[in-house]
Amino acid sequence: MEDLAPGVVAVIVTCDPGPWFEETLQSFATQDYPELSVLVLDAGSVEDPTPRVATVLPSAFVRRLPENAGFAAAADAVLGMVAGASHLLLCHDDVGLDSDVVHVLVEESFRSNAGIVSPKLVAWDDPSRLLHVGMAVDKGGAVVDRVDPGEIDHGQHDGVRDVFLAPGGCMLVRADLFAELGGFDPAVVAMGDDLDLCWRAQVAGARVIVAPSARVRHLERLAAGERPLPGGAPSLQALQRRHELRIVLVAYSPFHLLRVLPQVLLLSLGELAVAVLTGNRARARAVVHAWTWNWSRRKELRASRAALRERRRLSDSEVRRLQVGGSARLTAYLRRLFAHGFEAAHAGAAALTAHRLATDEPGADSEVAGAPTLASGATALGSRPIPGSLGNGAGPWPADGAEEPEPAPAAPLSLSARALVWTVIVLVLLVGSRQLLGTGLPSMAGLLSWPAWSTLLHRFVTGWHAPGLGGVNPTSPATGPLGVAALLLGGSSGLLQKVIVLGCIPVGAWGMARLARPFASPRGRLVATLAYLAVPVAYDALALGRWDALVSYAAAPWVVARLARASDLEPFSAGYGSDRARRSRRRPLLRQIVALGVLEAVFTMLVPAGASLTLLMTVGLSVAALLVLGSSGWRPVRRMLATAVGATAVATVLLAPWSFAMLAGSQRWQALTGVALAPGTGPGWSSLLRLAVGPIGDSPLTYGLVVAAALPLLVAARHRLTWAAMAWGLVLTSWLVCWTEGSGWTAGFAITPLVLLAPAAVGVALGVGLGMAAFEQDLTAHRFGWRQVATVLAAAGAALGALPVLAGAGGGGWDVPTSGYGEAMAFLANRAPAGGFRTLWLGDPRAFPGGGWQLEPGVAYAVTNGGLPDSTSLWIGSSPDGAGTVANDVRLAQHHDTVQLGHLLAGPAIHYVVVVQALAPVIPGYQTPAQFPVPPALTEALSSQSDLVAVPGQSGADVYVNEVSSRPISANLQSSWTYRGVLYGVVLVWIVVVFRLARSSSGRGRRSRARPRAGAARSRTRRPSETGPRSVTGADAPAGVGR
Amino acid sequence: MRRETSRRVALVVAGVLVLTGVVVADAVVGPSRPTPGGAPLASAVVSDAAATSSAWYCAGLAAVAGAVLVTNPGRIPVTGTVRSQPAGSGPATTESFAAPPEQQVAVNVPQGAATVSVNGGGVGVLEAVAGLGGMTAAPCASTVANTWYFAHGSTAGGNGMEVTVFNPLPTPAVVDISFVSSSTGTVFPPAYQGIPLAAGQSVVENVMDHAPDQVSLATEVATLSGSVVATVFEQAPAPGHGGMSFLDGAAAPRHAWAFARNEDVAGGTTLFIVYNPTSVAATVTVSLSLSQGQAAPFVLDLPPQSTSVMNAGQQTRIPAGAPYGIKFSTRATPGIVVTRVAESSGSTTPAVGWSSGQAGGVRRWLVAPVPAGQSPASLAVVDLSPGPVLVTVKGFQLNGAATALPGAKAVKLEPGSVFVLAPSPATPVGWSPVEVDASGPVAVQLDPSPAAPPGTASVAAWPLVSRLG
Repeated sequence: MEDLAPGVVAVIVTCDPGPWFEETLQSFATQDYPELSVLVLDAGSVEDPTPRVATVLPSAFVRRLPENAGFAAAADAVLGMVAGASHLLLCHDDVGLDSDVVHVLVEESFRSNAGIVSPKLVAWDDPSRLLHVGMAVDKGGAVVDRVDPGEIDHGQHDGVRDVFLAPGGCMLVRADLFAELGGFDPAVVAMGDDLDLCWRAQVAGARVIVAPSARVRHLERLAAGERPLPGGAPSLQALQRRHELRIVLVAYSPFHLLRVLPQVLLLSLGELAVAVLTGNRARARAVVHAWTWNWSRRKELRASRAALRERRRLSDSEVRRLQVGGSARLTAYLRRLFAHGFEAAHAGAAALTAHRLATDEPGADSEVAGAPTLASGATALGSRPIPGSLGNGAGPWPADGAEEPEPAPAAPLSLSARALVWTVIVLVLLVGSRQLLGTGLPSMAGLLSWPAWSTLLHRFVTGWHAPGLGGVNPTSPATGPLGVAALLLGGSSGLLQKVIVLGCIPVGAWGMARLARPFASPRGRLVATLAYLAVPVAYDALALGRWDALVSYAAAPWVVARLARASDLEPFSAGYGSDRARRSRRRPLLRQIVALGVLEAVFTMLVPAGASLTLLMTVGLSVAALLVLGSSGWRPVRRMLATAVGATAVATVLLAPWSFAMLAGSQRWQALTGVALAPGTGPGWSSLLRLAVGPIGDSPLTYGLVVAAALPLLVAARHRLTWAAMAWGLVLTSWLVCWTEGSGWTAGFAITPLVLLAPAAVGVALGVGLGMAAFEQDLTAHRFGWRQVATVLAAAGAALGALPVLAGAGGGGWDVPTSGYGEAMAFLANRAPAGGFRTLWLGDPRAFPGGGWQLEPGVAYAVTNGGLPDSTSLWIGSSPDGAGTVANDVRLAQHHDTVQLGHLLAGPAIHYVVVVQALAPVIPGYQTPAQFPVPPALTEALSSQSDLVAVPGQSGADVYVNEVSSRPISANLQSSWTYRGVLYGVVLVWIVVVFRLARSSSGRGRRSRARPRAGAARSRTRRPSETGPRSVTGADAPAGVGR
Repeated sequence: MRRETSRRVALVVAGVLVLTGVVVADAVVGPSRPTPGGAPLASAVVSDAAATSSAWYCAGLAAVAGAVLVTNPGRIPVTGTVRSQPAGSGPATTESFAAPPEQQVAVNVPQGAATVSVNGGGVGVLEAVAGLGGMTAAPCASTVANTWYFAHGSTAGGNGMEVTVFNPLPTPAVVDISFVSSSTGTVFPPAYQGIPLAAGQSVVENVMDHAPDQVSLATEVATLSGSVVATVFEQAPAPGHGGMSFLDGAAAPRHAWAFARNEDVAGGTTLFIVYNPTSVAATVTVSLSLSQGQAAPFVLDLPPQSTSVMNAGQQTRIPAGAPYGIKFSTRATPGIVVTRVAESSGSTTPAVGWSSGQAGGVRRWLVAPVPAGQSPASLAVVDLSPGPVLVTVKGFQLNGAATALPGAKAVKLEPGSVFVLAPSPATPVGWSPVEVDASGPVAVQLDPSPAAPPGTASVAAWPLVSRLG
């Protein structure tokens, strides 16, 4: 055989070779093939390599070229230099051949009648790691590797087979074929020369095969960025893109080019858009460069096409048999996106590969690994989660008592990204509220003007409260801290009101961020916060003047977070992540009770419905926890219920004596929850499901947020699924209570729908955030499928769902009426009789200024000293006392049992009866606020009274003047010493509790500073629970096992 | 994995089931929707006996001097005042009254709209006038309204028609008056637009001045601001063929109207004028209750803003000389208004009478006694429900309790049938106030004697929605 061996010329193209060069030459010197000649082509090295070649391989020929025009141009020089050889072995200067490589390649070339034969390329330093075993390509020229980066060679690819592309590090080419094709395309200076040659060879009818028995080590210096690019070429990425496109433009016949080119263009545009959006300027430049570079070489391309046309033996349909379907680059991008998240997807595969290699985590995709040929820029379509690891396609659920591994926490967001997002949020809120910032809030519904700080403090101390006929009944303790706060703001209670009202939105968002923080997904936390801001509840509360809903919006996430901590469920348990630590560091229940009690007290003193809402949220969370956790849910449920009930008791004590007076009054339920709406007048299902019961967000798009919140129920695992279910427990509870209230089935329990929707907003936002967390941490466990599709739909839903609020921000005032009843009702005082007067207010509870008692479902009433009430009327108390008699008088008129209501009202000095029919005055051409008319029978009854004179010209409210003169008002405003004693005692309790809590927190802070935080530790090192299963399941075993 | 999947499925299924269940429940049982419109059953409703005060507004007396008749069916004497204010300007007069238990007292009122203020409730008030055309009494209004509808009036053939509008409240009012004529369509006389009415003021408009020679004029009084009471005083020339009536208007169109007793006497005519004041067409079903049972109903089609006159004598389904009850019903929203004109051959006084129908849906009625000088002839009760009803006619005892009169306790009435109760010493219907209590909606009519055909001089009845005595 040796006598018959055809001649082979090994062509080594070199340029300033490094220290490995001798080893390369040595590998050629030790080849067992007898008819092998070696030609070293030096492409413009600074230092002449001839002495080095002569030392190792004295028989080799050296040819020095004047410049480095790239591998292709240098290799083409062989066409005029070599004759009589049957094959050419074209090699880089950083390869190391096993001794039988030439032998095997030549033998296989003849056996398979192949034009080009590729060896198996392995890593230079670690030959057990595969680099390339032949390659494929998609229709757009993107190269697809057959092996995973870092894949261990177990012989799994050791079979001769046809491939589309022989990687350019080392390939055996039939000499006549190389000559017929005219060698490489010299315009392809790097990254694509091999693809160009192989594609044209296939078009010319030659086979390209891989012979894995021949093994070649490859250093890939150019890809590592350790060698300069030839001829001032742009980046490797740019070279790759432009050469891919060039090859596509040359190799396809006209028909197929017409079909493929638009697809390539479309993908390029998509990639360009993504690159621009993610700030990847290098990628964007590469995409644009590919098209401009090829456009400028139109004539050259036409010539190349013409030359190939003459050599074409196979049609494109036959050539494409070895191509992969679809877009390899798009598929790889989506896989990275779904498997590793945005950062990995946009950082490129190189970073991911580096990360995985650094953490012994194989299976990374590579896109631009940086080899001098396209081979190293391949996309590994075959990459899969490594067998035996978490990515085996099974979404594990922790068995009872068993620890399942938790995916590694998602990478943190960069500071600039967070700053950008928060800046946008702040800007949107500022733009949306710009009109409210400049002017005062209108006096309407719950946004009534706040009295002076001195008045607030006076009411706090004396207990005097104005609603009803006045009296010395305890008023909300909120008057105390609010009075102090107004004093600290320079005595401007109006400024304080604006700060608190508008501050509810960021406080709620902050609470949401705190609630989502333990889930160890910075993006999930951010998304949850954004979703909470995108839910229309807060803006509708502003537009409808619902102070209670605004405060509930601010407080609900904090309350849920407290309940979550109390539940001791992962990830809120104190020792989350370590079973031993969990057992030793369970959250003390008493502390949870006191902490939630303080929070609930603050919540309830501002909104009396706060206590009810807290208990309602507890019920929602508990039912869902039982449903999702089964019997193991009893413990967290017991803890939550105990905490909620205990906290309510604590809050009751902290709010004494007001709380006890509230519970003792005849109208306690109304005072604690609100006035019921008339049956059938509540929000419809459409509004409830969208959480949009006001003007903001009144669009079908807001369904998107709710749809997005359902994602974690479908794809989340472990505690994310548990909390997704509990979040939906909140949502469903809110909806159900709203519905039963609207149906009139809840008797006196009548929390305003907007207030009830605050927990639902928390649930939806938490669901959306958990969806993001599940996307980052749970989706890696699944192959591409419906889960990914659902994720895309959820993301689209969330994005669309936020649009209505963004659109609402454009108005600058969240649809809050410009003018309130403050101006419209100013005349009441102007026409006041001597000796003072009172005003009877009637109206729908949704438009009622301040708080009121229930006259009948759908109609609230209150009596004020003077005209429009101030904000302290929101805490109206549960004992109407004399005002109850007034209500009975109105009922008499309604039932046609009197036509002289004025006579009856003259007793309590009621000079005006105001029936509020709209949220704010209706001013034609200026503002048209929401209308909430009272039942017609009430209006008819009042207008039929023989002693009430309607005041013409009012719109939005009907005003009647009592013709019957009344007595002057007199009242004893002195509070008892008992009241003051209890009050001061409670203040002392407040001071002690807050001091103890603060000291406890600071102690914890010191301790936490003394040792790394658990979360921080998790983010840097893998927990034992994570490492254990990996070592058992073979995470450290060579990749590809079981493939 | 399986456990996770099963719990995930359970969660999703539970959520879907909950929502589906709620949606289904919402659709099936749903929230009770608010009842539409606050239109009272009638413009004259007897208030609860325990009311602290009540008022009746007698606008018709602004057109002609007469009297108010206060009927007190209760056991406690009721006191009050009658304040009369002449139309335009002029001094108001106030007269006190005391109505003994089970009695009817008359308070003469000079020409001027009157407000009857009652220190309490449980009484019914009529406005009555006597003249050459006989005597007529109609309920005063117990409520004010923004609109008033009258199906019929006539200025042809020497008939006089006066519309009186009274603002009894302290709030000023402005009203428009318009007509729907069978010959000229809707008419808005400029003089009747924007009529201001100060507190307590009334105005009497002689329709002859602006719409003469109109055989049938439907009237609408609408306020631009404030609330008023309106009445039409219709008068036929005497002697020979005279008559006069106060037509109490309807504060709102209604879906059903009924007349309990009618009779197509020889030489006389009975006309029913159906008025559709709305802007949508109405299909009206006319149901007849004959002594032999219910006749097949027939249908009238009314375009928007139109009237239709049905001559009972030309209806072959109505046998001549036989009493019958009649009911007009429509499903059109908001409804219709119906007036009856009963005319005898001319030998009786009055020979012609106008009366408004009774709104359907009333189960309890307080029937006033016949005015002095007349005697009761019959009390007719007709079942307006689709099923049988039990009817009890109750008289008031001195102790205030209402007890069933002999022969009139729980009388079962088949649908469309008529129950007629003749007065007797044991059943003093017409001599003193009686209450008709039925288990379903009924219409009642008390006719005095001697009189022309039923309907020419019927005695008023008030719907009862609260307790008496």
